[in-house]
Amino acid sequence: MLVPSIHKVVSEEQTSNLADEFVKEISAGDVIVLNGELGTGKTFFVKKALLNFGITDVNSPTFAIVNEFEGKGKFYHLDFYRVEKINELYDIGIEDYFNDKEAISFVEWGNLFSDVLPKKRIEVNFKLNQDLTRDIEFKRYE
Amino acid sequence: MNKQKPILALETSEKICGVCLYFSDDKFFESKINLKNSHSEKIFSSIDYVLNSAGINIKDVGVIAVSNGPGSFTGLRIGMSAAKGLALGSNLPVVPVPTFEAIALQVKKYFKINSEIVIAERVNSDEAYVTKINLDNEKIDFIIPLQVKKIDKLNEIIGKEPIITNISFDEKIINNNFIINIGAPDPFYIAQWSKYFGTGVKTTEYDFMEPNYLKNFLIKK
Repeated sequence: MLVPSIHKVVSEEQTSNLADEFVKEISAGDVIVLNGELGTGKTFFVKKALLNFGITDVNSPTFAIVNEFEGKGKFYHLDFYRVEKINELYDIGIEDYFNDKEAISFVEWGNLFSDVLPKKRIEVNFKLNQDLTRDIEFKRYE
Repeated sequence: MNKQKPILALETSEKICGVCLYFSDDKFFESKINLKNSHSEKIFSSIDYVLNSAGINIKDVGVIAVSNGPGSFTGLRIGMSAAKGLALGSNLPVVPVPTFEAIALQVKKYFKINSEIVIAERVNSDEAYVTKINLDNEKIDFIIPLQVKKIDKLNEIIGKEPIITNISFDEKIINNNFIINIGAPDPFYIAQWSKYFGTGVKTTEYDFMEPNYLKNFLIKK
């Protein structure tokens, strides 16, 4: 079981392997929140996770706020980094994304607007260390 | 309100895409479709269906009544956009109908005058739109204003009253309350609310009319 656990990774390959393991533990209706500073690997992790479902064109949704993908399943990739007010999230129908029990939602920078996040969620926290290694922590909230 | 002309009512606040062409309580044409993610596709064909069934044209309609929320963000936007588009194209006024008042109107016949009921409808996995209403003979009185509340805190509002809801409650929240499972009103009651209460809110100034999402939280960053 990857969730809950914490891992120190030293390469992209190790992050990619964690993403491959992680997707075995998620299913439709899950909301996955990815927290961490810029450049810590959140988008890379999502990109590698979604490769497992046949999705190859994942880019950062920082400017679009949300991208939708259909492969072996349905996925929403959201990013709260550029969102300034919580009402902007209601204006894009955030509830409808999280209420979609047929889709898995990945939310980068979700901690910026924790009020909109469902209580039941998985959080993946990324931390860049001074020696350029990364800590990746998986936590489940029920 | 023009009594001679029918009301075209739209209800898209939840899973059902509903349309009612209402002439009177004894003469109306209603369409309800329960098909996921299809409101935008089905609403105009449903409107065509009820108009054709009645043998009239959109220009024969007196007013467009639209369910104004709270409810599903996407659903409400589709209903509101359709109402505005039809109103603009056919030079018709719009009545925004408070969705929970239409629900109260729908269930009113089952209760004695001055009964208190709770309406609680799911927002998401954790929250509900909730209100407590007194079913007066002439009007719908809000005892507790419509609000968003955590589902596990609903026992702060709910007493012994009957509950109108689409939520499966934990036993900790309710105590043998009488439950009516309704997630949204029938479009007939959107029309009926418009007939009884719509005069004061009927408008042709609908450019900035928005659904009531009840979501005005503090910015947190």
